[in-house]
Amino acid sequence: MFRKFIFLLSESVKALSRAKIPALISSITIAITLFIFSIAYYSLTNMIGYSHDFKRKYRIDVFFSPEVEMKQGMELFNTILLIDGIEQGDFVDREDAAVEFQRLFNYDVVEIIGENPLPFGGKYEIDKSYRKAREMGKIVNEIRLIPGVDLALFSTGLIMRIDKIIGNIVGIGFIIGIGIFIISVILVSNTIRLIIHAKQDDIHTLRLLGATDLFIKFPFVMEGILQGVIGAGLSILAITLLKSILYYILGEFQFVILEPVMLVSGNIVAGCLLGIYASYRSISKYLL
Amino acid sequence: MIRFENVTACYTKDTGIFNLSFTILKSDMVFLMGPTGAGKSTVLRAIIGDIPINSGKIFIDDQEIPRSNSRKISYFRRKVGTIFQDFKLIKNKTVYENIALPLRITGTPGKIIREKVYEVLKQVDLTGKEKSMPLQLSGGEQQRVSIARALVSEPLVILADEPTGNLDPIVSDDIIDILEKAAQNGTTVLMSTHNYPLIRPRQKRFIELNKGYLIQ
Repeated sequence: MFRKFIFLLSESVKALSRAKIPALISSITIAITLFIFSIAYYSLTNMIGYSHDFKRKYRIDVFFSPEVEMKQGMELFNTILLIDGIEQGDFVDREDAAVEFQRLFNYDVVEIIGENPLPFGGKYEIDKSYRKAREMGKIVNEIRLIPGVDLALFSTGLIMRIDKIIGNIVGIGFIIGIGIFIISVILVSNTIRLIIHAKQDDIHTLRLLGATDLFIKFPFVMEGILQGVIGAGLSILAITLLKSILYYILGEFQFVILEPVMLVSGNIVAGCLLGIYASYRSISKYLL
Repeated sequence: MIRFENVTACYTKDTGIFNLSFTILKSDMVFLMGPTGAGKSTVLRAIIGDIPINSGKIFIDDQEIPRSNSRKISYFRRKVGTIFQDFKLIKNKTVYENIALPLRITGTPGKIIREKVYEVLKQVDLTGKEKSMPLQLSGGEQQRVSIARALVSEPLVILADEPTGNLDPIVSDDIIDILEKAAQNGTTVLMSTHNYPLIRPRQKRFIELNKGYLIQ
């Protein structure tokens, strides 16, 4: 079995080396597909990461009514903490509010007015799974209905815009990716089809000599896999190059573009699957 | 060794073979005679399962040849060595690789393949040509490679479909000599030809066909 495998593997390599140009074109197309998918994946990961950090800064600010005193304020604060989607929060008493006021407007409110008129309130951070404009809107509406709450605010427009940008990037990336994926499958299938046509007589001879279907088909599947692996190698090379350029340009800028193990294994597995699918498509169509 | 029992395998109503029955014994060398279109190739193709048979049964070594299971047919074909008029050599493989192919298919170890290939190269008088490509050889030499490939797996039966069809009389005679030697060594040989003058001096049994029917 192992001897047969080695023989068939060497046959696949020989067949590919005889069809260098089509095999190279297919491998490059696979590389482009994998490169786009990898970049899309890492861009999305980075973007979602940044948007989460971004949204964290635009948490929900709640202001209680002026007549709410400390004890009732604490109770209100705790009631809001129990709402689904609230991850954690900071209670803001009047002193904290005055400090915040001074930070924002550079005036001491007590000095100007003679007393502290600022209300109690809270700053709430939202759970990751609720960090979408619609979900956050629902939470804010729920908070507003609680007696004693005067105002509940978050940056709706900004967050909606971020959600929309991410949605568009995912959608466009998906469409482009699918388009290039289809082109890759067609090109690899076509290369295998060319090899099958060129070897039609040899295949018939092999059958007459007693070769099983597996013996005949296996080299073509291997050719697809090899093209996938070559494509994955090219893609990994391109991403590594891109990573070096990005580090050079962006310096210490924090981004998670590469996890080497995942990048290498992901690309190779995806390349192999693409190659297997494309060669299977050709074999089942043209090798009867 | 080879037994046909009322075998019919037809392409159309009038072409093919019809109700053929005959038996060939072990180590026999039998010629299948008849004009072009008599059904000689159809008989050989039916034996190796390259065409379906409509009715009847074919036995080799008392085993009926499988009809539908492609895997069983593949294993069955390994018992048969086939020689073709157009040689059917793989052009981008050397003589050695072509001859070794049936053994590669069965997963024979490399050392045994080497021994057997060199032995059979000697039998067909092609020693020293193992690294040549088929197209570097003459027609007669290519046919010897084809015979060597058929002999290398030591089959029970050799089927030769007009193996001398493209060769001159002297080379043709050499080819038949090699096949005769294989029969003397215990292999059953069934060779189709329409060249009666070539086989007449051999004093062998022949089966004659015409328009798909056996001529008694």
